[in-house]
Amino acid sequence: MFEKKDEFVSTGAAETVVGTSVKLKGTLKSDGDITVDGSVNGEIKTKGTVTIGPNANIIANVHAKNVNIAGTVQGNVVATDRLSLSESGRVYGDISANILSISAGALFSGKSTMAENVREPEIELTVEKEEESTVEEVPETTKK
Amino acid sequence: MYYYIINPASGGGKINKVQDKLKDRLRELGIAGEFAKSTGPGDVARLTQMAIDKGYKTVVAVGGDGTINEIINAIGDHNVALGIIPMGSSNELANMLGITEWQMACNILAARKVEEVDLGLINDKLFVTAASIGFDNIIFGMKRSQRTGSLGRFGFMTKLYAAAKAYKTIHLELNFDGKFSVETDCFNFSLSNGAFLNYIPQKSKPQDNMLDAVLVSHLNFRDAVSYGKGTLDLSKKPGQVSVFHTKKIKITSKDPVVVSADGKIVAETPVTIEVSDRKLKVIVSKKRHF
Repeated sequence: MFEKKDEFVSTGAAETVVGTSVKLKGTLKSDGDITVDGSVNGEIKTKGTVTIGPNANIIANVHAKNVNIAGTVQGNVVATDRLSLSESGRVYGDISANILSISAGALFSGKSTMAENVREPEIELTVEKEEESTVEEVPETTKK
Repeated sequence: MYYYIINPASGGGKINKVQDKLKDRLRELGIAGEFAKSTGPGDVARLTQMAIDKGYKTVVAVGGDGTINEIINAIGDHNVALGIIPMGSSNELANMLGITEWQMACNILAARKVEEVDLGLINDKLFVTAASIGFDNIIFGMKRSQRTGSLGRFGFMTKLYAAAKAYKTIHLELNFDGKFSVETDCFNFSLSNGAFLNYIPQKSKPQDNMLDAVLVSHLNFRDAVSYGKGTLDLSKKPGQVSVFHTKKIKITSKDPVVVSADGKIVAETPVTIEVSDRKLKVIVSKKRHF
């Protein structure tokens, strides 16, 4: 699913899974891990990890401990710990995380906010512009 | 004292071969109690009511999940525990409770360790293992025919191939606890009260006050046949399987489709399925799977 697996937090067996052909509307709330391969329109909230597969299409705000994105998200994403955007991932919205990882080729259009305990001088974001894209920030490596 | 309800039709008459040995063993253990034999549909419920009226505090199902389903619905709110001597063609509950064969069941009954487990509710009918919509119900029908002897092994496989080839997915709308809704084409949809089905996550417990919903969106012919034979590993079909957890679900479909519980057809869509306020007291093994 992801090119650089070692960059992602292991999800184990997800407790909630939205399959490829499923269209979900409303608030999907869980204490455990959530995997989305289908469509979600609404909101996703969990104390665990949200994994958004390459075929997933999310129109929702996402709030979780860890968020792994390989599909498309239209909405704001808050990861209280780690947010990973893989090569095929696309986010149209603001993101907030303690640890942020964006792979080359990912598309991110929005504002990014790091947690307050991360000192600003340590963050080195490399901006790469792609043809016909609205990529704003695409760092090559994970920074804390 | 124990009241034993023997369903002679369970498991293709399995009980008839061991009945005398079973009674001897129960006598040895000092838990022989009273025996009653059901004679037809609805009789298990009538016998359970008779046991309750006589003041028995334990009713033992000598049969499978279908027999148990009739007993739990007859027990209702009464303070009566269920014991199980597995003799059915489907013994999902007994297996979950760690009761795998009749000799072991006798010892477990004598030890009498009682646990409370959740019950599911479809309209006004209780169930203890799982409820299903879709391909499962075709398989249940074929297995019933096998039990009655009208369908042999070859006939079962022939029917399974035909069913897998002709099967059309069902379009379902599911509303979970009024919080979110799901729309999808469905090969099979199950709501389980624990890890009763081989594709239910093992974390699922019959004491968590939740039902685990497993939605299989689509399977090709080959996989559908494997599913019918019970050999398909759904964990290797990512994207085709969805899993949710809920206390209450409302299920609607364009045309009515049948809903089964504990392997028996009990309702049609539209239907609401939920965790019941009632709990089932049941005698369990120390080796139970929860």
